[in-house]
Amino acid sequence: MPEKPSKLMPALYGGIIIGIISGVPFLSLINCLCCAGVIFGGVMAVFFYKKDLTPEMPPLTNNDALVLGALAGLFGALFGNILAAIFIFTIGNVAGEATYKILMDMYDSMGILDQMPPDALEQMEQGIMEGELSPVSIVTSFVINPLFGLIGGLIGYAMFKPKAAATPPATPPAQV
Amino acid sequence: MNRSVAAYLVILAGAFLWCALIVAVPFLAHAGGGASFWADVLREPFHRVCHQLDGRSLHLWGEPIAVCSRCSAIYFAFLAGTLLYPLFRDVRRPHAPSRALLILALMPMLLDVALGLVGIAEVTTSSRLVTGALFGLLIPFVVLPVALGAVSERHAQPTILLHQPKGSVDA
Repeated sequence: MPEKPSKLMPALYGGIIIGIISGVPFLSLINCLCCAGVIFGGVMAVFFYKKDLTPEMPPLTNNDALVLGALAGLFGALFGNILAAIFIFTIGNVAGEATYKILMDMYDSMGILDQMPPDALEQMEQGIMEGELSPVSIVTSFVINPLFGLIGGLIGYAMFKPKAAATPPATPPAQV
Repeated sequence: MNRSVAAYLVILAGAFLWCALIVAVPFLAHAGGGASFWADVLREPFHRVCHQLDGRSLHLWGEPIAVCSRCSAIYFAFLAGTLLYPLFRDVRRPHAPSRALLILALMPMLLDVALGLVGIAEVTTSSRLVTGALFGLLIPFVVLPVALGAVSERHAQPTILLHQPKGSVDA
């Protein structure tokens, strides 16, 4: 029976998807729904791996999905931080500026902007403008992304699991 | 202890810790002084998984909790679903996860988001809580069997039956 293909490339593809979703301004808002972009990358890593499997190879297992999801999350954290850095150093923190403006407009329309303490506003602005590249954020991305990527891998297995193997016919008792 | 049971307990402890941290943030912020520094430190990792908009978050002790209302519903319902899991499924014998359950878990939340985006229905805190909780409650029944299956698969030893003729001596 031929061996299973390497998990590295499918995990890398999943990681690139996670990196693009996490690193590109505005697209990264997808991750605001419980890291949906990272979960999607984990699912896609399982999908790419399943595509590489031929009928002669052993089927996709729970373990494969677990490893693929976690690896995709790890690669995703790496690509996401690199992409975010490239965008911030070239075009600036456009997403942060837009988010801050939307928030201020929202508070203004609710009539609570004037009541907010200046310290809180300053802290909020600083937090948003620091963007994705604060040291804490970079470190946590290497913990959070593999965790949510792993959940994506598990969901991916549920979606792309191999069809249940046919029950083998009952064998007659061995003659002694 | 069976490895699947141990893995289940680890996942349950992880879910409990995650939810405890979500609640710890407003508690520490409310305490003030040095504790609010730790509230800020704890709030930062959750910023990666949630927008943390004050207007869309539940409040405890007058402070917003670490994630928005929809995310809170998902995480706390996930903890509840994980707790309830052994009542419906055997932890020691992981079963195949159901695709239908995954769709059932996802659809209400996706519909809520989509209808809100196109302006057909208003997305309220209640709709966020209900659809998020439904997703969080059902998703352990999809991911836990795969995770527990992976653990038992990893540690399963192939059974090799060696037939040795009577009287043979090991080398």
